[in-house]
Amino acid sequence: MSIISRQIMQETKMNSLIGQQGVMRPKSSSLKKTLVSGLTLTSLVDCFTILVVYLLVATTFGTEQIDISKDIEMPRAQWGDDITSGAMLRISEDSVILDNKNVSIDSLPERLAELKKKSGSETIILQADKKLDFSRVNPLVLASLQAGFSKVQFAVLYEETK
Amino acid sequence: MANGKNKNLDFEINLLPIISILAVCLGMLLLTTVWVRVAAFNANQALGTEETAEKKNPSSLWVEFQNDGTIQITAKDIKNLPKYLLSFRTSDSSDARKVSNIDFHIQRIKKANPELNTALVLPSADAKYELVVAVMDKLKKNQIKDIGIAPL
Repeated sequence: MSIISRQIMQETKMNSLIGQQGVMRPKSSSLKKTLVSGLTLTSLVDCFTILVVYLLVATTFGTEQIDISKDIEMPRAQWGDDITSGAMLRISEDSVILDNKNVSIDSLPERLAELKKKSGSETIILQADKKLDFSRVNPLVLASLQAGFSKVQFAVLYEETK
Repeated sequence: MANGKNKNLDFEINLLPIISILAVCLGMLLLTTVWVRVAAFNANQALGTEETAEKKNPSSLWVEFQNDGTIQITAKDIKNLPKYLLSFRTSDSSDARKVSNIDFHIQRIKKANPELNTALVLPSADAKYELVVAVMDKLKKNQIKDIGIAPL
């Protein structure tokens, strides 16, 4: 009887997806109990695939990530270059912000010179609201030149080429 | 049923709730991500002394924003350029049409002189920043890579 039951169990044993085999054996003092475990990984792998695709799409290689101020609506452009690292200067309708600190226009050249000395960078990134007149942006460009920044990057929102 | 010698060690890890939570988190991440790319226009500024200045000026385009709202494009030091391309002024009331006309004119100049690579933008005090950027965009579109901005 025990020989027949063993044959049946051999024929009906189920293989798990990762190749492990678990064999349920009937309870018997003469037979050993064995460990049975099964892991369904297909759905988990699908989730990880979606995660990888999202990271590939969202990651931009070789470009600097910058914070966009919520009260500045930047102009759009289709042919801008990749943004590189540099000091950040923002101007909105009512404030001028240098590296996340409010500054006045009068103290701007001095603060920029300090920043240039500290960072050694030649580049300054200018985020300005699109509704401003150039007369509001001009003091920032002049102050950047006075401080020694040779490259001024005008940040824009990238627009797909139509 | 456990006895003294052998114990049943069957167990299963139920992954379905974990995978469901993961899927919900991924969905939220995809919906809440801000899909915005930032680009920039590099404007090189002259900081050198007279010693470093080149004797010969390269051929360039000057884009001047006039006080009356018009935009004048002047070709400087460009050889063999037809007379009708030497100077151009757009006076449309709509900014979009101004930019479109400028784009067309720059294309014609670039076609006549493919080596043209330099432009200088001279904005006026009341020129809209958005319009200045739009002009720079059209210059870049026409492969004019060196763009400078002259402060007021």
